[in-house]
Amino acid sequence: MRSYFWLLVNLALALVWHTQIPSASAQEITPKLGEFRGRVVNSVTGEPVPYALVQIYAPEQKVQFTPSDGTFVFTDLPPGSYSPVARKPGFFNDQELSIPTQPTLIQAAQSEPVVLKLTPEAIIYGEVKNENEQPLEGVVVRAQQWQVVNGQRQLVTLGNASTDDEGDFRLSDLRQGHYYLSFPSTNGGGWTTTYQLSSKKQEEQGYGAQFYPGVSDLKSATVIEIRPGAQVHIVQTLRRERLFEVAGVVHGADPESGFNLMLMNASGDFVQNNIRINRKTGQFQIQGAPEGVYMLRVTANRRQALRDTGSGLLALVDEEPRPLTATLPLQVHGDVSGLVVALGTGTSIGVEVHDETADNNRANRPHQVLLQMAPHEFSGFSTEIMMPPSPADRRATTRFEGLAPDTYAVEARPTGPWYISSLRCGSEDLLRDDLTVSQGALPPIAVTLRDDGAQLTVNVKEKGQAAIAGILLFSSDYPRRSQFLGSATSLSTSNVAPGTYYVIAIRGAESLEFRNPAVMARYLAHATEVTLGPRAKVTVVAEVQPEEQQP
Amino acid sequence: MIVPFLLLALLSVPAQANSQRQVAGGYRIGGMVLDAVTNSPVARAQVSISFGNDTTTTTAGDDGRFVFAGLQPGKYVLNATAPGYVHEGYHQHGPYFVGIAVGDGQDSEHLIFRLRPQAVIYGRVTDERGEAVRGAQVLLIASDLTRGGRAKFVRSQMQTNDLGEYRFARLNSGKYYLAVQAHPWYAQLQVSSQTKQNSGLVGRGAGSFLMSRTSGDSGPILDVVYPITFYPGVTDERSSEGLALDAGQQEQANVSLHAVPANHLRLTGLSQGEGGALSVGATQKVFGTLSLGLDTIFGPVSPGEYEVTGLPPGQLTLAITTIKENQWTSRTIEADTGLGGTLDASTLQTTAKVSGQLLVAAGAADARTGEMILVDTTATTLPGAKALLQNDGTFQFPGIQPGIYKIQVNLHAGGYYLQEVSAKNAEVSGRQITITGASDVNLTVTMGQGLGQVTGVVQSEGEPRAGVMVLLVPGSGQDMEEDSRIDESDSDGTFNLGGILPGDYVLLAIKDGWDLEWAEPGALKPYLSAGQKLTLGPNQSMKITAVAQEKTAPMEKVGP
Repeated sequence: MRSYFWLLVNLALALVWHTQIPSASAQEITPKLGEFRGRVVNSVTGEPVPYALVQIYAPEQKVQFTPSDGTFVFTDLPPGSYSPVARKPGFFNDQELSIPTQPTLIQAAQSEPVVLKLTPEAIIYGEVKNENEQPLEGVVVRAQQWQVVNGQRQLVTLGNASTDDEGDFRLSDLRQGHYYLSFPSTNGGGWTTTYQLSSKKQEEQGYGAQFYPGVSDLKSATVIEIRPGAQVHIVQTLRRERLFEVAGVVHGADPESGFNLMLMNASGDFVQNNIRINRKTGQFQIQGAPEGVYMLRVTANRRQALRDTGSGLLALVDEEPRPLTATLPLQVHGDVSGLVVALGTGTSIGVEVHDETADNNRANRPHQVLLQMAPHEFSGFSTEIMMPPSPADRRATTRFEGLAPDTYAVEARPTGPWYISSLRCGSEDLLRDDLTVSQGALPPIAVTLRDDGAQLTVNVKEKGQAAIAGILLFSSDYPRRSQFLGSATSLSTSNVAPGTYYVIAIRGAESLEFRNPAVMARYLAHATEVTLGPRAKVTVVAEVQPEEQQP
Repeated sequence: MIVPFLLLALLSVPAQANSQRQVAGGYRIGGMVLDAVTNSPVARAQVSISFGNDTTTTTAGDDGRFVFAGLQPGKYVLNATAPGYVHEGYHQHGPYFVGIAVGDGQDSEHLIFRLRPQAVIYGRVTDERGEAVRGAQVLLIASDLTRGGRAKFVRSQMQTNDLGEYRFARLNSGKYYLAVQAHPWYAQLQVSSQTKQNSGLVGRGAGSFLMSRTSGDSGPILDVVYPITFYPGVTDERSSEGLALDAGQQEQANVSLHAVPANHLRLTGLSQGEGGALSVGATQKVFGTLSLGLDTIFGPVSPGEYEVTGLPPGQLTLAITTIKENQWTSRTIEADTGLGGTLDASTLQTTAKVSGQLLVAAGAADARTGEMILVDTTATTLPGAKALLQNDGTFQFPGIQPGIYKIQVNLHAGGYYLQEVSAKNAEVSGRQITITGASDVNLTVTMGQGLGQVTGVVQSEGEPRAGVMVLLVPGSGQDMEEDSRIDESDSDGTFNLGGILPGDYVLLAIKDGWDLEWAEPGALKPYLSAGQKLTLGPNQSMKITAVAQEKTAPMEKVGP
């Protein structure tokens, strides 16, 4: 009898199971909504990150905060590819660190738990003291790093702080890397300008610009190597040194409005402490300059008037075109006196724009180019002019004025879809070389604009498959024409100056000095060479550089 | 003597000088720096003297003694500081302190400089999860001594670091309040989809620094703000705890922030006109008349209708500025964002045109260059409405909303003061006008010339007395905060009050009167009878010997 009973149960179960099958087929018609699980972890310690924000686009944005165990769950997601992003102050996520991430495919009801890594910030903290072990307040501390900006290596400031009354400072939000700590001249912070000369001769002492661990030039400074999440403690003792006075007279300024002075060191800091000016005679005294090499710039103050625009707004009207300047290099090894600075002198260079574009007959809206001259040592003193000047701009100038002897990098940036086909000063090709300015007169800088540039489309492949990489366009004839086009599998750029180029696909392209032929030489073997003629439309394939070439 | 704060700040990291010009003979300034609380010497204090534009610094010895030699006669400014102490002038109170008189008959070599140990307020700002809030703006608010203690001002502000920490050091003793302004790091303020579609013009209100905070579709979790929060974590300053600090006291004040849903407002009835631009900013008033700017996001929903979001709950002032062809008009609306919903801005179209004429004394017509300002008396820390003076002395303001305003005149020529105001279609009371907005207002403003000066000596028991608070108050008791003048008597007992408007005054010299809230009505009553009444005419200089009074105990409140 038992076997019959069980047979009946089996039959009953079979019946139930069968009746379920039709509804199972109904489920196969509508896709099953998926679930997305994961954890956010600290990439250094592996520990979960609580209270991080996780975002997902499905397609509208969904967000969650992770609890203390760092987990997150998104439910009811249609099948597809998702790229979750995690964020939290004090951390960098993969996107910010430009680490390529693969989107996660969600197919079935449950996917594998995803681990999102957040890289903790590094901190540099410490104290600044003087030789007597007393804390120094108000000292500026900067974290600096060599970085490639636009293909050129520059010292970039990544963080700055000021010491408090206990001499403490703290720099946060730092990524891993090699840093220098610099302490620009701490002679009081701001500077004062007074209008009476001082007859008092006083030996002053103060702090010149220093780098950790206590040297005055970058070359002897110690590099601080920082790993992710590191907390680095620094104690810096600043030594006092003698400060000197720079004095002289300025000719050519208006006694009413006067002039102002800036003394800048090679790091781009203003080092003056007290400036005293006698507006009537043009005499000046700059106090508080430590020993070093500087650029002194004097600028006449504008004569100005207030004008009522008729409705409660006051407008400042400049009565002069560009104010006169004078720039001169200066070496300070002791007190400097008797300087004579004549405003408006110094080398001046004219600029001519040759517009060879098709529609250049627009008298009232000329095609404009922004020209910049940056002296090598003192990049803070670069000057820019827009040529040709807008007809409405009464204050426009067509010359670079008051240039101090130095070597200058000259850049020309068109303001529209044209390219610079030629940039010359006499026989100097400024697309290749820098311009040396010394005492003699120089021919004008000639800029030629054309709009018959080529269009280039680049498709990135790796071992036959489409891939994402940074795309560089390098010109060995004119390295300054080299560009970073972007990071993609495929992109197009127009307005490229005709010539021969190498298309280089490489990860980490942004950190390469792509204007430096010596750096780029090793990538040329695997690059795609392309010659672009005027108005050509060319498509090339760029193979991602092999692993051993990656920077 | 009075020294502006700016100069004091620049002296904060003095350079050391060791050699001074040796003049045969010459006078000296010398003394000892003592801790104002313990009276023990402050070893190696940094002491400096200033004369005109020149400053000399020296380091005191281990016994706190210092000396400056070879000085010419005159008045010197003496400052001292040391690690753990404030940086202050000799007997300093607010911006006033005792100048050192140097010369024959002056004793400037036995000065006791009581240097006050610094008070410090420090702490951490945390959020609702107990985590640090970095980049929060912490405001230190104190009473303004120079205005008789009533008005509050932001004495200092700091941003919290990555640990959420802040520190205010080198503080004098006194009562302070803390206010914190911050944004939740995860906030994504929402604008309605209608506004986003019209966004050519999704703008950010004045003072905005919203960096990566784009308006997203993330829903209510991220559409949050932190209201302005006061220590220890309240949003109403009346229930906030002030911090009363003595010299040398260090106080920890942590503030916890709680995110609340951002409020949205619709403004209707706005006319922008073609080609014009519109900007919406918001401020919140705290402690009476101190206005703090808020960050807002705004954008057009439909013609004439704007959405403003990112607002904290509470009473706010919205400022709507329209700019069209260089003409700008600004209007304010008081709003309670807790009520939400829609505000009809068209009801505030009624503004009055205020114009008028400035009169100066005969023969001084050239002096009429400058500007007129109307300051809203309920928001004295905001810049007021400005009008430039024309060559003929006339002026015209853009539309002014109804309210009570104080008239200020800034003439480029010095030495003028506002003598009288008369108005058509507005009520005048002293230098104040009340505009009801019904009709256009015509003002006649008469300027007088010749500010006066009162100098002299403060005496106590027949001897000159230093460090006494000298206060000149208007006899009428009106405009106390603006027209009173204060000084501290120098080491030779002398004082100097300048820039005085002609009129009737009472001169008071009160020992240790520095914490008197003299602008409060009745606070000066016990002192007036012993004060000296005087009348100052235009350009008049008076020399007075004032007798110092003792500070009396505050009057007991009489009554049930």
